[in-house]
Amino acid sequence: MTGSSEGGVATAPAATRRLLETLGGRRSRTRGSGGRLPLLPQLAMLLPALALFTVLVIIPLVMSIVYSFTNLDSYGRVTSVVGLANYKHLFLDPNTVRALEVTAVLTIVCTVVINFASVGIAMLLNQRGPMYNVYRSAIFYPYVFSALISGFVWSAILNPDGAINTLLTRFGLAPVPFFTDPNLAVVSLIVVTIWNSMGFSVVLYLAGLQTIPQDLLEAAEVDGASSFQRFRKVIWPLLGPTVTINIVLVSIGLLRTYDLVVSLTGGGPAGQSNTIAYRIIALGFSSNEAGQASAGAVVLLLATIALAGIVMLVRRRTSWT
Amino acid sequence: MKRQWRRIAVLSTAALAGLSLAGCAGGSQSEPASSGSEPSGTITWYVNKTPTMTSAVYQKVVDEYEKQNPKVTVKVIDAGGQDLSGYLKTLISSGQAPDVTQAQTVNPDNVNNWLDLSDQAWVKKASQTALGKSGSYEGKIYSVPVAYQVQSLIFYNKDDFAKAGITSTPTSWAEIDSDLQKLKQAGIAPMASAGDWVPESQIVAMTYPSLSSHWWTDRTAGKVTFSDSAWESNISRFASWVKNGYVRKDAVGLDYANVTNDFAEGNYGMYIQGSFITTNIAQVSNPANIGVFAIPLTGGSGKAPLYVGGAEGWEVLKSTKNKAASLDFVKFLGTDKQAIKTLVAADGDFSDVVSYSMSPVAQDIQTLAGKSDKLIVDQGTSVTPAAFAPMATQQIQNVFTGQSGPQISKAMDSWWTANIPASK
Repeated sequence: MTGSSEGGVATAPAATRRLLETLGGRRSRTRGSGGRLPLLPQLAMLLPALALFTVLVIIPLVMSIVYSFTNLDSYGRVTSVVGLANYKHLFLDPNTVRALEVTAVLTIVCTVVINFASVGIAMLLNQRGPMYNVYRSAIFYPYVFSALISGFVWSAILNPDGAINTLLTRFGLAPVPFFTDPNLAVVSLIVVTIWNSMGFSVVLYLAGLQTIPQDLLEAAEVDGASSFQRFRKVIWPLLGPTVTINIVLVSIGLLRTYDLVVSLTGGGPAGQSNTIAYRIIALGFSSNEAGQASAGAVVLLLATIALAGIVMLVRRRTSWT
Repeated sequence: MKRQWRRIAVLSTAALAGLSLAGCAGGSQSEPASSGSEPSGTITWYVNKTPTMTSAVYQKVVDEYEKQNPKVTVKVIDAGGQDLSGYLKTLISSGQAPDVTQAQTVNPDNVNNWLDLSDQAWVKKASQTALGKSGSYEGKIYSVPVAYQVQSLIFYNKDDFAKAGITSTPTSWAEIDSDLQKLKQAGIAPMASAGDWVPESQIVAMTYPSLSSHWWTDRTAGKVTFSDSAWESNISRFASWVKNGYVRKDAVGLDYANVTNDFAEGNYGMYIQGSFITTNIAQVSNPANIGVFAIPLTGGSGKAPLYVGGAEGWEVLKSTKNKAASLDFVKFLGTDKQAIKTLVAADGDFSDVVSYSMSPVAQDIQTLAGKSDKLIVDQGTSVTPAAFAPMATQQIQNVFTGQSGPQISKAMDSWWTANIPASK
């Protein structure tokens, strides 16, 4: 179905106009000013998406908030309302506090490293040539694997009898306790997360770089700007929207890290590499404390909203968006 | 008018598309029985698949039952690699509960999910033994294990023992410590362990023979604690093994299946595990010369009982829509000798009901079981709280991070005080 353009604004063809009239019960205003559809057809068109959103997002969210004030168990039973007890228990529980710390470290470190590294790699790959397509594929391919598979693969590489430690032992060196030392377990999680996630950010930044007009860069070069100055004054500001989106997407994704913990460290040793998402699942299903798990989920939601809000605010204030 | 109807049709279609999503939640997969006394319909059977309890094993049981009961269809489902009881909880809370499940330890949190089988004639007969009663809770019977696994065992490599100059199997913890040292001096990795649930299961195996059968009830009443019992002694012992290099310091990063295979192939001197690993040992292409002895008492004198756990017990969920077929299937699983033999042989269990061709090490265990008292914990009202295992799994892994037995026991007591209401 094609439309025509009047003064740069598309007008609906005849069949569409008739459909709109049928739904709206009156003639639709489709003159050059781009008149709006009547309310009823707008609602009708939005209804399927709204229904999906309500069923899959709003209702579970509201239920989660409600259950967080109850003693819901893993079998779906509620026998009493406990008020803020679940939240209090959550923040007094050393395991949950540790999970929050690990999640915070993972999120901050990975967000910074992924974004900085991705910008650099995207700039290196933002060139023409057949090999550059190969390089781009090589950078992107880890992202194709699910985090679960990546975790299993790296577990085989990093475990005490894995490839790295076997090589070290063969050369007479001491093995590295990737999964035995609590701090190294978190470092292993960070490294594998960066490896698994960076491809997507590189692709986003590549796309952003390719929207920067070349004549601006040429003009800056003609004006005597160095590479760093061109980056600082031309490329970086124009990449602003891409940076904002990427930071928000990456950090929100990292707050929900679960499957990598399952397959790589199992949360160990002794729960020292648990993330908050892993802790929520453990509370809800292993420990029969689904009410506390719901409270954890609400806290995670609030942290996600706060993080996204802070990022948007900071970038708006620095005029990057 | 025509316009009005067209409008209604379009809006209704959109509304139906959205509302249809609300009906997408699955329900129970069972189909009710048709009228008549013979069981009929479809039921789902929730099982635990392992490297030895495979789809083929369960299907063999299903085929035999369906041959005897052609009007019943049994669908086998499993947790797909997830935690067995965790996934079962998901199924129950989402309205997709199976009809028959592998027996879960009954506790106050889950007791309302299972059907009371006490009025079934075969259950009355089968639950006369201590093992048969182990599926009961507060006087009601929810499952009847027809087999058992021996949990408090130490498997050992006979050739490694000979190489280290150990001429007889140890009968006390002091002798075990001494033997571990000899194995290490002989250049043999003394004791196998792994990550995840393994250290906790090893501490449980070391400790349970020295506990009373009502220890959990006493703990809830505050009469005993982890810190003043065999728990602390054995956690401290295990921590000393890690410190002295008898257990690899990085064992917590190892996989259970790989470590079990490594032991079966002769790469470790000893391994604290349950009798279920005999089937793993039998599957190794070139197994080492493996023997077994019982875990000794912790403190006190005398011979320790064997800690055994019930196996091949099945529960019917209250939510079943096909109670007749579910009860009939559970009766089949609990009384049909061929079905029991299929399951018991594949799982490396022991049973007084059936016998099967066993590996030499399994025969050794059966001989041991015949000469020992058996301790069955988690019976009646003395049950482990549901949240204990994940907490203990996490805390006990701290033996690898340098914490001591008293520290870990104290943490376990703190958790208990904060989370388990004291009984009156």
